[in-house]
Amino acid sequence: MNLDGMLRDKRILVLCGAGGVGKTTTAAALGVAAARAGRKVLVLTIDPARRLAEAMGLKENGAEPTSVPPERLYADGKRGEGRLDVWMLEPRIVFERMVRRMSATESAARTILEHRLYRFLSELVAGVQEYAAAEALDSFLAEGHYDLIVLDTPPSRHALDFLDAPGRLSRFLDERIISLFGPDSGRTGRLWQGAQALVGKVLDGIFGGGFAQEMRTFVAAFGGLFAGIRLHADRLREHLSSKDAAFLLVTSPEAAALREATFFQEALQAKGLPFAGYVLNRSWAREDGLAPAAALKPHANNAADTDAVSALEHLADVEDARAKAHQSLLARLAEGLPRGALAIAAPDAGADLEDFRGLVNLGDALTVA
Amino acid sequence: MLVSGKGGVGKTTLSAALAVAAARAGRPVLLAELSPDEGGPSMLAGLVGAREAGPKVVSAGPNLSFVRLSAQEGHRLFLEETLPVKWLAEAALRSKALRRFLEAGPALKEMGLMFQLLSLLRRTHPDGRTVHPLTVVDLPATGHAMALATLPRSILSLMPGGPVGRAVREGLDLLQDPARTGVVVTTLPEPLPVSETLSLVAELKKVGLPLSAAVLNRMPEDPFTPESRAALERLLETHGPHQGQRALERLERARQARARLAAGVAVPHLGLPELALTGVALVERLAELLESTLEGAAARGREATP
Repeated sequence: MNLDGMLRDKRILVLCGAGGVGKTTTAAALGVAAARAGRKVLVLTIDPARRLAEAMGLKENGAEPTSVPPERLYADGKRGEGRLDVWMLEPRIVFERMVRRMSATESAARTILEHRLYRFLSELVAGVQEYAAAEALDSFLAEGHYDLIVLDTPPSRHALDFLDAPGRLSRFLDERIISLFGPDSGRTGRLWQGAQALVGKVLDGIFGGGFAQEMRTFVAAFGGLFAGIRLHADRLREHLSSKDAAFLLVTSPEAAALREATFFQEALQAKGLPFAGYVLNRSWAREDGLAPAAALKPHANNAADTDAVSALEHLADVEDARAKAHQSLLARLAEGLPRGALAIAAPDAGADLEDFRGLVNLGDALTVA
Repeated sequence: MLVSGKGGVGKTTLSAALAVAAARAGRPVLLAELSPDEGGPSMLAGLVGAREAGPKVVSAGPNLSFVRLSAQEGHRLFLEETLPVKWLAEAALRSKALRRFLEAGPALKEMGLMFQLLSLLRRTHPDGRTVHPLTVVDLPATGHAMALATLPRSILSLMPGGPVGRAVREGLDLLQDPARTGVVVTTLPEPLPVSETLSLVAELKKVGLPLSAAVLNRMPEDPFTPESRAALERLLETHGPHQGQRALERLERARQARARLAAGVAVPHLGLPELALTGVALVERLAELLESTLEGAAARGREATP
């Protein structure tokens, strides 16, 4: 299967990768390509660069996805059936919605949302962005308005943090921990009560009595949501493990790329998630078909011209060495691929990527590869 | 000295090179890795030849030590220092539920990392001299680093008193003191990374972290004089693009990126050349290049003595 096929068949495309590799741009370009191919597409993105956001007409802190106007999507020709929506993940909004949906009553939801610690939780827990991404993906899948959702995962050191972070958060919300803090654990037994008393002492000692009490009321209120949260996590897991999903690693053409790629493929395999391949971003692996720099020599009329041509020849050598390195990296990425997975080079679009036209071009370049 | 930047810009390599350069210049330096995930192999340890990467400080050569900060170690130190009785701290650390809570609870992990860093910085020799007069911290990629930077304030607004509040206030005092702390932001000479760096610089200012230098990593070599550059423009205009075009465009982007960075930050900015080296060899070469500018940089980097 090529990337074009994936964009037509899949329901979920997850783009993973370290920060700074151009994941968001790639996600946007793939979303554009799929929408232009006729699908209803949502690109879920996190913290896009300002100009990229502007190119897509993305509103900051929007409560709902923004539609890219058809005249922009189809600027160069006939309008099709496809649609492109983009949403910038706002953890605060995702969380608030989740709390409201999962709370039994409006007043139960308010108890959580108005709690002083709520702000703390939604802003500062490591993994909140990742958790919000997972939660948003789950709820858009459940609504079923889109043919394809392209998820741009939060930047991280390791490509798969996105998958682990929700686990970290749900471990915090683990029933056992909650009942340890909660005022009414429902569990008896001397050992358990002993543990509860110990935790109480420790927390009072560390945080001071007032804060520990606050923490208890909050954890108790949040604890009610636990079953729902776990349900969502399980449901999403099922979606992500199915053949409707595809995980792509976006990587930049550097020495570390191979190591990262191996790690990514193995980690996905271990988690039973569908590995779809690599996008080698900003690479010079493709030929540009230009005349050699030396062809300018006969046109050099003076010393400055001669200097200019030899400087360009030098640059062309540098470029060539770089292109060869990228090509060999691409070849090595392609070596260990399972059937159906792909390794493609995305062109180095440089500064051109800051308007919508640039995204269309990049999307086209990726899908014909 | 806190080294910050997005993933993939060479931040870890730069941290290692800064530490190696300082050590060679005769300054005892502690290189600290602050990574949100503490498991897995440590690239930084490998770059400076540290034999192990853990919460224990190990020697990585003359004047150079290495540590990988650990939240768990921080929690242990904190509990031991805070809790009135020893058995309570021990029991607390043995409690599985509490350990899991400390691992996963809001901001507790970051607090643990910060507390270990603080306690390392506080260490003194018997004669009163600080053990680690200069500490280079390799911060996690930008997003996490900002969370770490905004964390102390949020915690203080939640619990101004109590032992946690006190520790956090101490940490904040250290981090915000330009006499003791300096942030080095690292980026690449391309439009997007520079835009992002300029917004990072604005955010650092907002949270009161003192910026001390901006580093543009992997600056491409410029083979032109102003005259030959102008001559090439004329030639290409007449005869169309030739090979070397991509490198030429990249060079132009780098030039503009450097100008934008210089206009956008008030601190010195330093360009490091793109080198055809990787790993330890790259660290060594960058350290040599840094050594020549180190006197200034070290003075700006300040001593991290609390």
